[in-house]
Amino acid sequence: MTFSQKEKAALSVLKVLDSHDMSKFEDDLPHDTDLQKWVLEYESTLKNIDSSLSADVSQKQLQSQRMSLRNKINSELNIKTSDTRLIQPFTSMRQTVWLMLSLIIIAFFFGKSFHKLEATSTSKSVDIIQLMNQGLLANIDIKLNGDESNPIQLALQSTNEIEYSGNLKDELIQNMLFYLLLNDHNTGKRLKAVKLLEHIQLQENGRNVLIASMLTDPNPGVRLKSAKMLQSYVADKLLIDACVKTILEDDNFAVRLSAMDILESHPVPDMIPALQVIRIVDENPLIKSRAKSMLVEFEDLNNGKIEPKI
Amino acid sequence: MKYLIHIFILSSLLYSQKIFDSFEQERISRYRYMEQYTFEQVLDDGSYTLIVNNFNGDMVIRGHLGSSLSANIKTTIKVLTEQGAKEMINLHQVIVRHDNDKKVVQIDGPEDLSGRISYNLDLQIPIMTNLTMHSLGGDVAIEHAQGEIEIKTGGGDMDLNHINGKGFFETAGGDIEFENGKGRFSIISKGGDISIENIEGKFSAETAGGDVELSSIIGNAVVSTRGGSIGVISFDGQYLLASTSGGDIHIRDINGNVDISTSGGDIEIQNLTGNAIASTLGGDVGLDEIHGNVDCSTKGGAIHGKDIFGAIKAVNQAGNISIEKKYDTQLKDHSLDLTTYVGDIYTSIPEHFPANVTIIHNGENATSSINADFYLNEKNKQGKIIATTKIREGIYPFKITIYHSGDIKIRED
Repeated sequence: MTFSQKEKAALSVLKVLDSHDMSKFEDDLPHDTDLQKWVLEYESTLKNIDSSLSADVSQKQLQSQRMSLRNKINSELNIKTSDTRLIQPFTSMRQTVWLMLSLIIIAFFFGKSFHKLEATSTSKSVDIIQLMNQGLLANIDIKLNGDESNPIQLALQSTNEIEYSGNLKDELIQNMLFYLLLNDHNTGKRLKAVKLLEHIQLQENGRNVLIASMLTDPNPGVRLKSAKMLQSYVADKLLIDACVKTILEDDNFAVRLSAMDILESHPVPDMIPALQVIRIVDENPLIKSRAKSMLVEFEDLNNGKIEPKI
Repeated sequence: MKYLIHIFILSSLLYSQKIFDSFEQERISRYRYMEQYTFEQVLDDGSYTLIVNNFNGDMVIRGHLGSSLSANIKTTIKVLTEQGAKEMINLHQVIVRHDNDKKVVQIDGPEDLSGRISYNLDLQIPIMTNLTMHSLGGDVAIEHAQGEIEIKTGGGDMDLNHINGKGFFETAGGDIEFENGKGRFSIISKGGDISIENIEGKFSAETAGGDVELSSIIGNAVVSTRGGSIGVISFDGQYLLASTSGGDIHIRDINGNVDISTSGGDIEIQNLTGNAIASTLGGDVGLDEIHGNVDCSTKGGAIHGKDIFGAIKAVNQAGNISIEKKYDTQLKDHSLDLTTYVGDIYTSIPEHFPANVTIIHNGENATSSINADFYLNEKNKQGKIIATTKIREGIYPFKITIYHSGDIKIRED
């Protein structure tokens, strides 16, 4: 498919094509299966965006979303009934607007990571994880204690006070930081958690936590830090979708720009439909212009006229 | 004919003095167009204003002594053919104008942005030139400028150095670094870090998300972030107001009054000569070497004060308080008022400190919870213990209150 075909298809889906071009496009469409497929994908992208933009945030709907999500996760991960409590602390987060995507990411990750940890962790870590599962942890305090081997000290409160020290390679420390980043009401602690995580290259689960944080954290500073950190990760479909969502929905321009930086630093053809949407619907001329530039790069690349950069 | 001559003269004044342009192919599918404009008439006396509108790309502005303004515009075009590149240049031209009567040089970016074309603007200006620059996006760097300066970018970093006068700097998203300035400044990032160093005057700095760092400041400052930490090193002025919606605040070597607050994070004040109001909705408060009065509070955390030379009021909803009070005869107020709902309170005061002591403990086992180096008259009123005494003349009020539970220890050093 040529760029011009894609452009016309996008414009026809957005219903901004003039009548002459529209009738020509409609004549061509039944004879071109690639074009039909592309139009369907594009419509689906737009539909997702529309539905998220117009999401009603009534408590009833949120509750039903949470329930459906839990059911989905339970079935996907085959978590035993007793383990469903793992998800609960994370699905009762403080957000006012719940984004389906971020919920899936958060819950999927935590379901997965705690499931794994349960089998391998030490008795001390099991205690803490159990407390987390039961939502009994409160006032988690992060301290940097100056100890070179175990610089991070977490002081936790439940029925007893618990202290745990370790470094960033420590899986439990990482998980506690993820917990703080996604769950703590105190913005300062969430910021501290994300700043500590900046010092290591996280595995997929950690990256997913950052994505969730970029999408859902109520504080722009935390979202911005998460978005900046995500620039060092390869952009797969999940990250691209998250970036597109951020670009189209986040009210903080810096966060949106950082999401654009992620797309720019890892250009993959999957993001073309998204860029076409951004090029047309984004309100900011800079972001529009950057989306246009990226599309130009893709166009040239497809024609083989310039050196591949991907 | 007369009118034609007038129109010609007018247009020659209004429009540009392009002295150089070049067009070349950089590599396959990439062309470069360079334009240079020079206006010798632009004087270095503060009478001229440079206006940039609708520009999309990075801008570098350098001030120099003496007259003459020059603008270099680099346009990069990504198309297959030379013909196509030239058409793109004509369609998306940057317009440069000079109005000698109004003392204005104006640069307007193209109305329509294309993904195939990008711009860079390099300006050499007389130092004393007023600047009004609104960019759609791109980084801005300014070095050596004086006058009334307003810079806005739709997104990008700002690097400001040696700027005097009245300045307004705003980026819709990006970091701002400002070094060496004198005057009144307003610095706003809608998201990004702000770093300010070696500034004399009065300024406000605000970011919608990011850290704020200040160092070597003489004057008054109001700084805030909606999410990020604030750090201040070496401040000398009347007041420093710093607030964050979440993040730590660390300040040290401060000469002046400070009012700092965080909605969640730790506060640390080191070496302050002046009064401080500090509050956090969740986090520790650390005070070290305070030559002045302190009013601090936390809703959850610890309050540690070391070398507190003036008065202190500390309120903690859940956590311990420890205060080492020192005596500085230069200061008038030496009162202590320490309150916690749940937590221990430890205080040390100088030997023979003339305090009027009142301890109120509402909790269980209150009597056994109080441990002091001096004798206290204890009374039990409806389950509430009130212990009092006067040390020497009892000049300074010294009050400790525990509403629920905790131990109290008072030492004389």
